[in-house]
Amino acid sequence: MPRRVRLIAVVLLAAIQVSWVHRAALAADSDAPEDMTSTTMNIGKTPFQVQGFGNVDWIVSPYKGQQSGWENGAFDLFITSHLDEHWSVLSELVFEPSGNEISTDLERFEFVYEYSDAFKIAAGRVHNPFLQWPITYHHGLFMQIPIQRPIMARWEDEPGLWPMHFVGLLAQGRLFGALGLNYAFGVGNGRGTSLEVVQVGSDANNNKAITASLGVSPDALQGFEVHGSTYVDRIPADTTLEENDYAVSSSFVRGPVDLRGEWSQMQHKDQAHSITYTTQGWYVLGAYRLPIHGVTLRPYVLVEGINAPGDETFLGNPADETAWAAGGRWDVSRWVALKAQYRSDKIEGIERTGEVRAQLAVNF
Amino acid sequence: MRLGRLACGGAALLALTALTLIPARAFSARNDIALVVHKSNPMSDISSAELRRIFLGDETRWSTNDRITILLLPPGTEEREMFLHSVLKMSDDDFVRHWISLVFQGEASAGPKTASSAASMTKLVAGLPAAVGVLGAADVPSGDSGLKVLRIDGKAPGEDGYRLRR
Repeated sequence: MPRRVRLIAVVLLAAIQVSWVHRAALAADSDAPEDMTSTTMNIGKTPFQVQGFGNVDWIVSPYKGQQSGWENGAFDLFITSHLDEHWSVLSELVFEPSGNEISTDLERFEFVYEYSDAFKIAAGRVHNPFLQWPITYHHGLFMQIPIQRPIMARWEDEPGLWPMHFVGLLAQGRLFGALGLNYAFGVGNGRGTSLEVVQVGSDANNNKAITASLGVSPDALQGFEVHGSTYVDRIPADTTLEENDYAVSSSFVRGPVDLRGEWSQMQHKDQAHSITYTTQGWYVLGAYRLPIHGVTLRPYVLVEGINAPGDETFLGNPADETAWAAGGRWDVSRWVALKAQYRSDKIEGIERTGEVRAQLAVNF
Repeated sequence: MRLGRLACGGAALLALTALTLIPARAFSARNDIALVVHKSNPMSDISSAELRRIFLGDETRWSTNDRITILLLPPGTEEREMFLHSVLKMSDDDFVRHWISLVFQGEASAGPKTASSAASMTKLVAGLPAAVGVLGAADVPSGDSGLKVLRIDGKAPGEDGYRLRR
């Protein structure tokens, strides 16, 4: 393990240790209100909260040509500090397997000024609000119902095709009223010279990427939301590409029902060669919590696909892919979930193949 | 004789009034869930939609722009379960998971707080100007306790049509 990673791990473990001690102290004071979601530590004068997410997968029956076995998932450390009524800091540090090594990624690091519910602005590395899946579940697989993310919601280094991270400024807010309007608008560095590069340190061109989304969650339809979004960029690849993306998403989450779906079209225009590459992706997820007293068991079905231009080198010549997964999530406790699913994939040019996978996901 | 009949009639009327009005009001209020805020909070009436937005974390500040602190009784208490089911259509686990998700999304800086008892709840709400708490109407102290009970959609606990009734 590199020395730097070891040092970070030691500091974080010490912080978690302090958190446990503080939690015990809180429990001893009966009048102190206890936070439902995490424990607050007062170190110096800035209270901060630490939460961890982690998972271990068991590939019971692998895809053809692969091996069964265990897969250590990401260890996602989520730290927030609420500095005062308006200022806060949020970070998401992920230790994840890269082959048989562990790599560290600062996935989110944002300084937020919140004036009101209608306006807040974040500066730093954020998740792009262009798609709803990544800004709903982020990197913690515990939060989502199925075992894996949809293909179109994969992170850049998995590698995913859509722009998931964004370094710059992001304004967001909710405007109250019967319609429940919400918006997000961001200006940032955009994509780098290759697909997996998130331009954290500098921008390879002077053009800035723009991301914008508008959503509605009407009071009259409790649990229903619909969003439309766009993302515009100039990609500094070997040949400059003009990017114009659109997405539409909708969800209905109420009581035992969890339904969500997204569709997106991504266009990369190579003006030098007058070629336009068009990629489309979509998914639909349906889950239902069974009415069993004292047991939280949710069967689910995920159906998805991407239609990709096989000749676009920037995207790594992706093939068309369709897949479905059916499984169940059992919340053993409020902080521990067991999931199991069968997933069937069909990649263009390769025969359909399937996998049985189980996952232990924890929030701590 | 005539006077006696009149007196009997008056007494019966009084008894009937006492039986039909006072006990009925006390009985229904005893079975209601109250929403309490600090007495300095300018709000006196809240709509069901706004109540839902506050407890789902969509609305995090009062009209004064002060950040709202949500206080609930511990998991498993009747008041909490009934409130979550009636207002949010959620189980307690769904509610907690929803708030973990909000904190994780950066939409909320902290989740709702849990007060250990109704007495602790009244003490906390009376001491926190931006707090809102949920407890049994019968547990709201009488007199100047530093609390104010909010009307919901124009109805106070004990009134006909009040929506948080067990």
